[in-house]
Amino acid sequence: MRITAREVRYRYRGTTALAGVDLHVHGGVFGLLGPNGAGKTTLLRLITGLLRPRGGPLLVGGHDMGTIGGRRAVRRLVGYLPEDPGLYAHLTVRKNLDHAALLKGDPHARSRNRRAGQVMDRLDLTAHARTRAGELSVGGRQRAGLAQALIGGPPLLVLDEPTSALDPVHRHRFRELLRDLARDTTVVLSTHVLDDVARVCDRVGLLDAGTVAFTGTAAQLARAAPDGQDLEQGYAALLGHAPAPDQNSRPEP
Amino acid sequence: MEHLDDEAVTRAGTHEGRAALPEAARAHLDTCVLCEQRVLGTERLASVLREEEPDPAVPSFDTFIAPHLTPERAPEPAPAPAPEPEPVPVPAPRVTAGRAAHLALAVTWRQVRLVPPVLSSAVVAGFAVLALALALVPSRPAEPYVEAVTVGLVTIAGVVACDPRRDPRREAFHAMLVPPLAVWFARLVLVLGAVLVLAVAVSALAGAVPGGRPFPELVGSWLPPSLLGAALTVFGTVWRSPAVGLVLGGVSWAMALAVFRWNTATGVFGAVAAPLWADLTASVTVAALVFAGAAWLVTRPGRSVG
Repeated sequence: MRITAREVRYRYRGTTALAGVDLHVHGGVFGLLGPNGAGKTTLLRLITGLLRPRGGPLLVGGHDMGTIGGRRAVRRLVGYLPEDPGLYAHLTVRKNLDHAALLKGDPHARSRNRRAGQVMDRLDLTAHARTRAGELSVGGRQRAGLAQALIGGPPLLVLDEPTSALDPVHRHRFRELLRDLARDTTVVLSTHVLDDVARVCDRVGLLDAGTVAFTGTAAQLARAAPDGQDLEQGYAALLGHAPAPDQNSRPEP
Repeated sequence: MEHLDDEAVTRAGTHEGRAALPEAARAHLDTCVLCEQRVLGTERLASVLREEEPDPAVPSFDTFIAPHLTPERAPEPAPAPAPEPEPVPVPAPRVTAGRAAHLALAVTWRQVRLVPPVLSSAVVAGFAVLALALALVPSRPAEPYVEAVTVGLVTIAGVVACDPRRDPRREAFHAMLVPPLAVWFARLVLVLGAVLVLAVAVSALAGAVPGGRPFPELVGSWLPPSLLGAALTVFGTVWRSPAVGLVLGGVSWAMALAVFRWNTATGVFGAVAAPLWADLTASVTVAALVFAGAAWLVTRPGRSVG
């Protein structure tokens, strides 16, 4: 699924969140980077149809997100994991997933049960099927939220900082899962974890103060660094911050 | 008129000419030899100067200044590539009427399981005790008790139905086929509908007791305050928190008591409050507007209290 944004703007009361975003996502895994308050979450909310864009057009899968019909159509095509996974703490993981499958339009209990089982297998959640969501660790909740987004096999997956609370093992598995999904799913991944970007993302967009400061590959982003290799320093350089000196590479006195 | 000042003489004697002077100054110039001499002198001086120094040709901004600014200008941004939208919009799964009806039933049934069992127990127990009391003590007027129990249970039900822990407005749910508004509405209809149906049943029982008040009058006594109370409670809970919802519900109940029981609603206050809490048409209209306001809040993704 392609996403095309041109001069997309959005304002909250008195605050400009997006000041004219131009973006083109062809498919695969697209990493969305940027400092806090850059407008990443707002852009994700526009892509998922939660908010109506100003300016534009913003086309998601060919649907105009400026129209009610476009937003409604995209809601049937998207799996969304916001920062708060939105699980009901008093329900078990399986019941939460069953509920998500129901809200995604599956009225048949048996089919929902099967789907829930599939995504739990995929995300190592089967052992926690009967655990209440409120009793899960933060990382467990994040995986359950991801399972909720994946249920129904949406062709577009929008993930807002999905790995921030994962341990290294689950982060590694998550990356493998994303690479696997990217074969037939477009993934938009907002993250601060540059390691994820380097390993998973086909293309990267860097948002700064509501505009796109850079789009390209992770390697191209790294080339913006003084040494032309370090992704973190390239990120800082593009945002106009002096890269911090590398403590480990400081010469011995 | 006084003689021309220096500025007027200069204007008259240079490019602008005598025509540039005001009419009064021109008339003075025609009659005053002194001023005429001053203007002629200025004309001669200007003429000599023009011969010595022809008028400079002032170049335009574009030819003189702009070339020097060009290196300082920001480079023109490259034209953005033309958007390449999907050639054909990706088709969204269609929902047939039959599937939609099945889905609506499933979503409503799910709300039965999402509402805490303690609410069902409280509602059933409250009306059961009331029915028992009406049957055992038929001589006492049933109206205040039916009204109190119904309004109280409706207020509690309104808060529980919109409880943040079971909030259907979480951000993730806004990106799903069944919108939070539909889930919220299904839950509200289920919970409030159950309370009102039980209240009607108890009212029918009270009406059937010998000497009891007629059934329509009994229903008319509790329905307006119940609807208004429920609407205000739900609005407060959705808008801010269960505590605010309870306060608004309590205020509504107090208003109903002031109108019906205490007879303290007098003057202008009484003229406004009495029809609102006593008249079914007025209370249904206002309650519908308040429910609509709550529904609008439910559609806002950023307003989740969960």
